[in-house]
Amino acid sequence: MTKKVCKTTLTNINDLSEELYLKIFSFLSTKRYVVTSVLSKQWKYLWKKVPTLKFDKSEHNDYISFKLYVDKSVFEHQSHVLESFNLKVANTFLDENIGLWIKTTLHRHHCQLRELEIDAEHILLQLPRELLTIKILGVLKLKGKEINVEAPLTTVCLPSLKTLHHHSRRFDFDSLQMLLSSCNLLTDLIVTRETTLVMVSKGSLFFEYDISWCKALVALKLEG
Amino acid sequence: MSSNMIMLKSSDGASFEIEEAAARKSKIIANMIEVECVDEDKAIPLQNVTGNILALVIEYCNKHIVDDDDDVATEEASEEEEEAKKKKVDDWEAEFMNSMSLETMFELLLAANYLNIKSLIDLVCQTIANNIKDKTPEEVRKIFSIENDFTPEEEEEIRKENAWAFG
Repeated sequence: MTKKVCKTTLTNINDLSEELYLKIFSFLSTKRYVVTSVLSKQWKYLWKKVPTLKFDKSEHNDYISFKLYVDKSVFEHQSHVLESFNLKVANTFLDENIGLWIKTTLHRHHCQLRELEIDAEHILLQLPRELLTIKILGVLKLKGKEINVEAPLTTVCLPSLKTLHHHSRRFDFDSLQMLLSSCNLLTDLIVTRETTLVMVSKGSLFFEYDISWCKALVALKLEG
Repeated sequence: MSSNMIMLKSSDGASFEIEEAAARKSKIIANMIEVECVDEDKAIPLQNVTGNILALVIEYCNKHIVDDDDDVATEEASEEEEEAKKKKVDDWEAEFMNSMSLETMFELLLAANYLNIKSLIDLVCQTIANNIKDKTPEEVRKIFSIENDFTPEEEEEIRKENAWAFG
């Protein structure tokens, strides 16, 4: 029998690589990993490359410090691809910044974003137009008092979008219609419209949407 | 089910027998199998993994190969069943990681990285992250064996520069 020689390209690993550190940090909130900048010279800028941004208002004492925190982090952060951007501002009523934070983040990462999750039930979400043309965006979960897209919205192109959760009290019908009709890969769609009125029965509102284009859809939930 | 067995040999000379399907959880071993690099009579030498760590890796792979088989068999499973199954796996993983020291976790992470087992890399990274999330910078330095090469002035400077982050 001939001897087969296998070559593996891996040599001794005595220490965790930068890649693995970044992976570990990606499971932490941004507040938790930014403090690693004081560990050593080598670590001073490492946090900027962590491929996730995760902000939770409840980790901060007040809105002012939270706002400063997010402002600074989104502006300094720059990983190659941002795997996820996650923003939680439950119980907050100030709404001036979220669209700008998303915009800055997209700009800093050249629109290389795979997942966006915004949980801001009391806030008006004004989404930047460029969000709706991200080629690699796979997950979009939005929760806001009102969800709108910067006008004028002319193009929607989200060829990788598989999951769309859209929860609000009011939203702009045209932009949602445009959004829905351009996602061919969608497998998980939840649209919820919270209302203080008597529940609108299934059908009257949403059956106007034609989702026959969405062949891959496996989970669909429409409420409100 | 075919139960092709293959042999793995750790850096300290211990041999382990493992089902091919479980071993394929490792992309690097799967590749070796694809290119017919695996000689049936000989163990695959893994120079970077010691016996005690390899035993853990194999325990993980064996557990998860069973789960993957279940997935195929019960594609029509209800949501509750899916959830119950997921909880079972989560519980097993929590138990599995709970029994280890941080040092072992690092070794396991290096092994998972070397063998390219993505789900195990994620599990260990998540567990390490949980372990360090409430630690002070000093404690994190100790855990990762990082030498503080800042002068006190420099460290103060960074803290000032990033005051927004330390509030």
